[in-house]
Amino acid sequence: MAAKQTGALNRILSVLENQEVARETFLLSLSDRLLGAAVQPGQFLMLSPPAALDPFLPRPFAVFDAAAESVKVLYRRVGKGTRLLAELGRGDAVRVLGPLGNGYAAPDEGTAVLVLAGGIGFASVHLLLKQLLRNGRAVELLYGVRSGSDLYPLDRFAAPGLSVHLATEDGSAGFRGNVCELFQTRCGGNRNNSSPRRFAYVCGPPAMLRRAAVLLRESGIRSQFSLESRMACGYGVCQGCVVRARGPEDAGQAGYRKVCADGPVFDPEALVVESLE
Amino acid sequence: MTDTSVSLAGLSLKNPVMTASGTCGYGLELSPFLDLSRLGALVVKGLSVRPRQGNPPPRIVETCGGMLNAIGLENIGMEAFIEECLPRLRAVETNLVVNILGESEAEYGMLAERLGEQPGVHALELNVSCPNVKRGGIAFGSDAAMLEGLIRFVRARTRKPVVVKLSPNVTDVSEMAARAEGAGADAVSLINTLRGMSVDCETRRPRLATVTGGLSGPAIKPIALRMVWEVARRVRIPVIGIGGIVTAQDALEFLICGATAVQVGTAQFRNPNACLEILAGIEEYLERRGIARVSDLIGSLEVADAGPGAGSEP
Repeated sequence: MAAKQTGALNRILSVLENQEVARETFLLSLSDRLLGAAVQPGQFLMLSPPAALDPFLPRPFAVFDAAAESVKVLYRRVGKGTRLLAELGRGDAVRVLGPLGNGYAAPDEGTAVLVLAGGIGFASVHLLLKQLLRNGRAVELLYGVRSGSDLYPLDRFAAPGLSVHLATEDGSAGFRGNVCELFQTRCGGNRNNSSPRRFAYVCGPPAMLRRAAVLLRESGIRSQFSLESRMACGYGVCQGCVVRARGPEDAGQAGYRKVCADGPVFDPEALVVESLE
Repeated sequence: MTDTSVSLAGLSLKNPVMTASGTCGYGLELSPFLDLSRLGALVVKGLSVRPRQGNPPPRIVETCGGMLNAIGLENIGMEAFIEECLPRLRAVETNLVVNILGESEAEYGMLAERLGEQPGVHALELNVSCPNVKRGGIAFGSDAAMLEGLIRFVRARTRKPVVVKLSPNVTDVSEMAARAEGAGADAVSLINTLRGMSVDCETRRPRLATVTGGLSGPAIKPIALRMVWEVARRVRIPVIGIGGIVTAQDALEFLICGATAVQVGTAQFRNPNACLEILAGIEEYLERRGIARVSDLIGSLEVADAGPGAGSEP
């Protein structure tokens, strides 16, 4: 636990940009010179306007991108905290705690990489995609949202080696349905010995994670899931963000894992994914 | 240079700022962010005899200016603390206060004996907001006779300073404080969280798995401050103020109302450096006001004679 936190810093950073890039979806860019070299894809930051009293607590956001002079998060405006964040403009101050949590582990050797992203879950896999592609891995991305206007503009993100398949629940772009249904259509539920072994990275809402865990297990695909949770601190002290851990079949309750410090990336087989809400 | 030192319960604190139990784990989680030895004291997560897994999620929910928690006293248990955490904490030059909790007098007694005999543990803080399962689940701290009995039981089993952390969910907290003093407490700390609740009107479900939880954060400061003021007027033992302290101004208000020291809790969730920033603000205030010693501030509230109604129900 301690090792993951040794890189975390507590700083006040300045807003460079805060732009709406899709419906109710904002890309916040903060001036920063340290995270570019230090952050792992999958890690996150806790953000808060420094003197806010209501809401009082910070919010967790995956690191969307980290460059030499800036760090970015992609977020949806859904509640009190994100409404406050969406009002920030160039020069405004933000308290930033991070990088926090563990990152996505490298895919198994010789596997074909599959990334399943649902809704704002795309924010967590973006940096991972960049890293995989930079390392020469071919990646298949299945990215689903409610409607076409919710999509992060992927034209900013074309790369050789990346094949993208979109899903929208209202059918306004790509496959009509959700990411899990798209997965079933493309990849099927059967273990096919002649096709290359796959490794999957998954991030999206709880209902998607519950369904994806079942489908991936049926297909014999090993995976890494990135979870979200209500957090007060993000660095392991409030003990509020827990998820149920899975123990041996005949054991009693296997206890809990902290999404912030033991995760947010987990092997889904180590968790009681059915309990995610 | 101003003198920020205070003494309470036989301990010398280099300054009046302590961490609140349950908001800094076992202390080491804070060390990437700040030098722990600069704290007046470190109060770690409450320990029980056996490890506790805690409550199912959701365990926390934000509220206006604060939050509710129903963590369920999750902790690694006293033996794991002694073996894994204490050796490293001994290297930190500050006062280590170990918070303890149990479901029976016997459990508190075992904790007091086992932890009290450990070198490096400087004081014990009793969490008395736990239900006494032998008495149908009434919290120790909400029944004066039970509270007295518990403190006497613990007092007899350790020579270390005993701080009693009072529950605010009582009719008269100053009466509880007086009973704690009479039973041998070396100091009292207050307040622990206030019982509260949050509901989602769309799902018509409570937002916490356990329905109710403890409220903390800026929202509770007025209540905490009032209780500290009442208790400080009632007892002679030192009072440690807790409740919604975010800034140096907040901390100073508690000192002025009679607290010898303060604990910072929820504020650390947003800002792990809160304690040291509050300390810096206290020092700045003392210098600006030409006050030589922080201890000169304690209990310095000036109340003009407001008549017989002062301090009563509005």
